[in-house]
Amino acid sequence: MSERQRFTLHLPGLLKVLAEHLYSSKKVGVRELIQNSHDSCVRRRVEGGENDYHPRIDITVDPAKRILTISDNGYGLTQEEITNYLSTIGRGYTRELREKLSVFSQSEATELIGQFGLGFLSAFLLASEVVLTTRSFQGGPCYRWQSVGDEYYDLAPGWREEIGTTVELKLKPSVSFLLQERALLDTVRMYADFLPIPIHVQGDEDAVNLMQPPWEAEDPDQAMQDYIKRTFHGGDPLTIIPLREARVDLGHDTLTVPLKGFLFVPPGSVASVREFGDLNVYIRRMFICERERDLLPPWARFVRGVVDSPLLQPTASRESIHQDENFELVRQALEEQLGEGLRQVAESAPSVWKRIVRGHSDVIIGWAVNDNEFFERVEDIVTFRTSRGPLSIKEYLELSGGKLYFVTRELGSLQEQLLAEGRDVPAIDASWFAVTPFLEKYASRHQEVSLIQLDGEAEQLMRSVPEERFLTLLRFYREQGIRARVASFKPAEAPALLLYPQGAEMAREAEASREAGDLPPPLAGLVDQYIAQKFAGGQDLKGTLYLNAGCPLIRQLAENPPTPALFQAVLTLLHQIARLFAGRMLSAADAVEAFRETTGAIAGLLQP
Amino acid sequence: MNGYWDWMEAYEREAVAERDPERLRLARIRSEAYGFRETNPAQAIALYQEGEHLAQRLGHPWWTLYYRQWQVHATMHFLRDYRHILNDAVQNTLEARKPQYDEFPQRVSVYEDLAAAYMGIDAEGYEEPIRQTLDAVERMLTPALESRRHSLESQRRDLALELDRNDEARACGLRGLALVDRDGRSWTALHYSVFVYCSLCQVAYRQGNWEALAEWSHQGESPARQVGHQMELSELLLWQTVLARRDKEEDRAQRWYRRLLTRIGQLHMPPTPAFYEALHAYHELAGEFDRLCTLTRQELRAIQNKGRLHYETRVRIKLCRLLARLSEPITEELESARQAARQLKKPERHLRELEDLARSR
Repeated sequence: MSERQRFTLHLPGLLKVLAEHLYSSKKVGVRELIQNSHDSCVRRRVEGGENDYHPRIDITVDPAKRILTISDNGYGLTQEEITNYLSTIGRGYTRELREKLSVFSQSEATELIGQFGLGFLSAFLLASEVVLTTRSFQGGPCYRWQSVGDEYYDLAPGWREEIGTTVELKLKPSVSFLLQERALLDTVRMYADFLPIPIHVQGDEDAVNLMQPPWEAEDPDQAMQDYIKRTFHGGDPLTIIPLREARVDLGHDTLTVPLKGFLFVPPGSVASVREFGDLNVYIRRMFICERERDLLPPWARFVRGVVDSPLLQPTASRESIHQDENFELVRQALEEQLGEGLRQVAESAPSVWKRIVRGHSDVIIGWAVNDNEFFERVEDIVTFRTSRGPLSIKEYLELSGGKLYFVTRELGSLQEQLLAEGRDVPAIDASWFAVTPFLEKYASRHQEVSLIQLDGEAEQLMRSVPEERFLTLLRFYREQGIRARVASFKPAEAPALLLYPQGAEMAREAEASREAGDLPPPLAGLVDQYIAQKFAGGQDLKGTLYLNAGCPLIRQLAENPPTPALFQAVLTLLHQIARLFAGRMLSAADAVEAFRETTGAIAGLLQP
Repeated sequence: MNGYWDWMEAYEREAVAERDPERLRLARIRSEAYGFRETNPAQAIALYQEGEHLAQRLGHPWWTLYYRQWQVHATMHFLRDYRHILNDAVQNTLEARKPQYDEFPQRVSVYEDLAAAYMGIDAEGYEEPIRQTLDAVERMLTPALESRRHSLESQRRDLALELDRNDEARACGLRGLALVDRDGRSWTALHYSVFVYCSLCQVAYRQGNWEALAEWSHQGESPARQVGHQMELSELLLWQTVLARRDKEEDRAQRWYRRLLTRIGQLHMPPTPAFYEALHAYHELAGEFDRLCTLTRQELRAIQNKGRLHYETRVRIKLCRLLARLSEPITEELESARQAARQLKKPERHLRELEDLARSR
């Protein structure tokens, strides 16, 4: 035989859960109380039917007594409402009023913010004791409700002349910061800047909140610019895309997504694939959260903005939003409006579009690699660092004759760069991880474009020539154990270059490690296995010296060799210069040796 | 230096104290990237690359190597792509040996990765140097690096499983559980326990120990849910589905099976070899050899040309066996399997098996 029992509620435990787990910041308590005041004012306007009603919220703080007071001239509460709504957890009048209003007046229904009937409890996040005094618009006496956050509350006659509600909070030590006027002002503005009811702090007759979002200002463009500067602390945005109500196609039907706010592109970004792409989210003008990263499409990491949509559903703490179907609809609407906005910029203001893509090149390249549609939009505009400064692929291909030459390390004094420039071809710096895949993707989508990696493959920029004319030179080097070849390359001023096969640096490191014995033998064995496999083709890790058949000095040495001593000195110098220029493969000891050889050769030249 | 987490947490605390957004970003990319482990491994790798780039720009060699190491780790274990992994693993090893990394808590992970790379490519061919490397890494563990023992044990287990040494794998798994018990309910312990349970399920199935399979698959479920490893959770639930089919609870088995396929389809991380093994078990129990064939071809498509030479050879041989069982033509598949086997360091055993199969036709 089962017996039906009733749950009991342990209020202090629930408050502890709220304080420690539901809300991440205690400041949220201020928001919840302002919002209750707001909803109460909306109720008075809707249900009161007064012609000259001027809603108002007042907030004061008394640091000496540690009391924070939030007062409104809203509808107030009757005794029954205090019992039904204020003292019943999970039941709030706002929700019931919204349900009522949604039948008759959708626009007024959407003005209401409260939802869960939990908001008032958050007063205990801030206060050890809460006193609420209220006089209802419906008449009757004034009531004073008092609680210290346990299972009990006291309800007694109170005193308040005007209709409305006052909440007095005896602040806990952990929220002492709210006793400072500055912190209180910042908190009020953060949460309630856009609320249409004036909020006055410390009796100031000027409201501290803007009361209207920038997109509803008289001059929205200027207001949005000001807002971006104040809130996002950046320079002037490159473009602003205002948001509007959207129709979303559901396949079988279309749906209206109420949407307000704006998106903007900041002037530039530090290279980061996740830097921006974030929104400040409002619901019915009440701030919910900042840096929301999932509402914008993943490729839009160079975009920021503010969005307000009553369709979004806040979580119970209302510090974030549920990722439900509505979230998906808003996300879809945002993606469409952003895409459309950027398309318009690209068409009507190409110079701005160029600045956008160039200002955020690294981010855009990173995302375009993974997103075909986005890739198509930016492939010809995005710029790359090249040996001739930033160039788009289109601009680059005009210079290179349909080939993309790139190096996977930062452009410095690389001989690959010299060779490329010698052929009148700029080299693309592909040291940023996304560049090589971007170029590969570009080449695969444009069959006429070929992709050439220059590190370790610079021979591709050389033209082979018959070596017979240069045999004396080659013989000299080969006798020294130096692998040497002749080719023609530009610039003609470069007499010789030493080129290493790909991975030669790693092999050199492995050799150094072997000599130092600084890896445990089994690890060293695995490293050696790999190196042996990689260089099984017999490439010479010491590199190959390429003599430039196009260089007048090389031709002169081949055709009219000087005396043997001079010949030896000059060829030694050429080799060592090439070695030092190649640089990266030299250990400190190698560099010393190269300088010794060089100075030795010069000394030989100086001998009478 | 007191280990891996201490180093990073200290760095992050300093960045917060100094209000340095770039250093803070550098410290936080790691967790952001890890969050993409299962849903978008390519994105995780992109973020690790971003971390490397940022570390280089800020001049922090430890962080540079840290993010390079994670790229290697993520490419092997999130993306399961071994094509170019040796190059990067060797490069990291050669970097990590330098004196400036003597105190770098991640040095042993770099070394472990090299062993893991060879294991993923050709575990049989490189068995001895892999074992010796793991032993050498173990000798490097200081008290501050004790938590790396989980990972080492996990590598030893994977090696044993790859080589079908099930008793050894079981012993490794039990040692892994002892380590988990010792570490209590830390995130690290929970994280590794999930992989231990998955391996123990695989061993139990191979040894026909249905009772153990039931026990391990149920025990692993809770930690898998707690740490949020969807792939491993799916694997454990799939073993439970296999058990349901074996217990003739066909409706439940089919319902779970469909749900699991949907769940796994939502992840962009390629399934583990064990997941395929559980799928095989599920169909084999019902004698669905046609489905097994299709499934094996799918598995092959997912792993071929990913540099996983030993695994690919095994799957190709499995396919040949299935085709033979169904009396379907296998000449072409035999040849592909031979080609795959020839890339191995020790192909003889596999080639012999293929010749036996060819002769039996």
